[in-house]
Amino acid sequence: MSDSPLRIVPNQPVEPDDPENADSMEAAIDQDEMAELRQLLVGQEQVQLNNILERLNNPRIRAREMSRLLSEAVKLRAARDDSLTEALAPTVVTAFHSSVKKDPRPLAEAISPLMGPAIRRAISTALNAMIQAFDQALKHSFSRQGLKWRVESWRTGKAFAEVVLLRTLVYRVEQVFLIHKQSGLLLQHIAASSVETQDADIVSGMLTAIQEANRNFARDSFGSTQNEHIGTLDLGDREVWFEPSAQAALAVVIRGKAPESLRSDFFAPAIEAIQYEQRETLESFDGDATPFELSRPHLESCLLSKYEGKTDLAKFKIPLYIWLLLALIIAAIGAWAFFAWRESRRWDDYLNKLRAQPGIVITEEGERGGKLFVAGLRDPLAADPETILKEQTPLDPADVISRWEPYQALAPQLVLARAKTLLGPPPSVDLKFEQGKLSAEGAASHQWIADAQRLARFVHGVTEFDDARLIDEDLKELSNQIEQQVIRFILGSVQVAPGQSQTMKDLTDQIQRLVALSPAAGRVARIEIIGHTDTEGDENANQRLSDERSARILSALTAGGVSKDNFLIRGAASKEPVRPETSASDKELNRSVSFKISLLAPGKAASRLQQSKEPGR
Amino acid sequence: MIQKKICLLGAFAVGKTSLVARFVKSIYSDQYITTVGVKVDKKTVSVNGQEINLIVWDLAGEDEFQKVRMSYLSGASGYLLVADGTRRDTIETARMLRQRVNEHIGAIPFIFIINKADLTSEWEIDDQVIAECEGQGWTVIKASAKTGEGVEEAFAKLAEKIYRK
Repeated sequence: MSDSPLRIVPNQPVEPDDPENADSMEAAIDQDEMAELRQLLVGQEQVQLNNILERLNNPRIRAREMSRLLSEAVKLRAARDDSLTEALAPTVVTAFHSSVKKDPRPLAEAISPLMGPAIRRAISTALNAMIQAFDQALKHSFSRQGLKWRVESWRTGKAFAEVVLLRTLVYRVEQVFLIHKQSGLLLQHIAASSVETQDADIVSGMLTAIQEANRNFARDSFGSTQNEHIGTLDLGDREVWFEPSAQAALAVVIRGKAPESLRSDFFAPAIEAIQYEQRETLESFDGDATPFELSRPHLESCLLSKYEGKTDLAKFKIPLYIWLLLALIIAAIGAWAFFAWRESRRWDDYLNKLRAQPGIVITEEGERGGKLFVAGLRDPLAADPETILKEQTPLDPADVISRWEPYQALAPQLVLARAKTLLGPPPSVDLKFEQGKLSAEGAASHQWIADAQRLARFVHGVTEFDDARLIDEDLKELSNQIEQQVIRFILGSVQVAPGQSQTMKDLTDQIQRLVALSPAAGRVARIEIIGHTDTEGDENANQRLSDERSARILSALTAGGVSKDNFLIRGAASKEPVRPETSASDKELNRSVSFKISLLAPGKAASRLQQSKEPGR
Repeated sequence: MIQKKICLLGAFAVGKTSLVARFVKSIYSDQYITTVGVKVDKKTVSVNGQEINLIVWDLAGEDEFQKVRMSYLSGASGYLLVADGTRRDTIETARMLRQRVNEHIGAIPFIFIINKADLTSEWEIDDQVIAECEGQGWTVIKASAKTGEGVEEAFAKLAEKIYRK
């Protein structure tokens, strides 16, 4: 259409080429007359023409007029050919795309009433087929015949369920053709699942040709004038049933022997319904089978089948031996589960026992090659896991693999055990270990004590050795010997009674040994020299006498080479008699000096010294 | 897809069956023609970019003992009329068949195929006869079942005629 509106050019007065006045005047008069004449002759038409022009040039008026004609025009054009459809198709497709892109819901809502039933139908058909195959397969799985069919399935490569269906089949509608009666063209075709089909278009034509041949035969042979049609075409293991209507025909391919009632109950109603619903489409059919998609539900209603003893699961009984077998399997599984559970509990118990042991650390545990497995660190002095396994658990040691790496644990029990192993204390010594300190208590030989003091610091985990309550047996013995010595004096004198020079010599030796041995046992020996008198005479004089006697022995001993620091001297007068005075010999024994030994720890020795009288004062 | 039924007609042994044998999808053996009188095949052609399924009914040939059954043409959209270039009488049979089709079915589109174009030296049909046929408005195509010459063209032309109708 042109962009410029239509324009009618009214007859303009013609300008004469010649500018002469007379001529132009004449021409002007002619023009006026012409205009008048035209007004008289075509005035009416001129008005109409202007109206038409206005309608054509006004887009709003044109749109209004076009809207009145549009639907009619579309109908007319669509009836003539497909060009309108072709022209509109791309726009419609784009519109759909754009609508879905913008918001898919309106379109989804529009088609959901169609999609729902279609999806439901598809799902239920698939489910039915599956359930049927499953039912049949289940029922025949355990029978003797079932075994035969299993062999057949294996031999032919078909699924077992498929073989069962085929063998228990009474009948099954495999395919349904909806055929245009006049041309033999295929309008619609459906097939049951897993049915092999040939090109349905060709089969449809051939079935029609066979019908036609049959009619010709009937005419030629029996002079039949009726439009005979074949009801059933027998093809051995299959039959083709024909069910015609005025313009279409159903051809139903059935495997097996179907009851005749299917024809009146299903096939005839189906073709009648199609004929009724699609009469116009059938009449105007020109090769386009698309509208006959609508007939599919009717065709699907013809996909019938029947199998022997079909699918009554309630009546289906599983043989007794299958139940027994099942019971056995369940019992075996139960027993296995119980033993596995018990074994697992015993194992956990064993592991917990090991974990409770000091000096045992489990780093890995589980199952290996069907055996129980445990690995970790073990102090050589810790309890033996093998012994625990044998004596404290019902597990079979042969079923357990153990792997222990040695290490030294710092658990107090083990430090103590290690100390005992290393120091080997005599039974009279009690060792204790607490917070890094190893304590020894009791009596031991001088040699053992000396070794223990040296070795204790080599015990892993020991930071301190406490031997304060350890008694040196050798020193004790020596002390006892010294304490039993008594040096007697002449009556009323500080003169040592005669005949005691050997005793003095022994005493000096003993004291010298005591002083020499003490440091090795971690002791300081303190020898108290106690002066005594008998009970005769003045007690003050006795006191003085006893002081002088002890001082006398001190100087004798220091003269023998023992350091003065080891001594304390004290006069006890008659208050501490060596022996209670009951006779003259007792009195004689009480005129003497006795000794008392203290073996002190070095610190304590110093403090004791402060409290007592120092020698030589 | 649009489907159209077309038929193959001609005198006995003009080579109808072999003419199309290599160009159609076939699931039936040629024996069907002698037993049933018809063999149905399928051929897909494209007209103006649109695919059309031609359902081809190959009918038993006409001779003095057996007439082509016109009832087989029921519902056909067109037909291929086949003659043998080396047998002049087959042209007559073709004319006669066309006449019968017109009487029974009506003037539906057809293509006249003169077969055995590979044996032109033995032809009994001259250009004048062909010109006569064309003069009557027939579309005449020389074809050869042996070389395949003209066969596709014949199917395509027929489909076009049917489509244009």
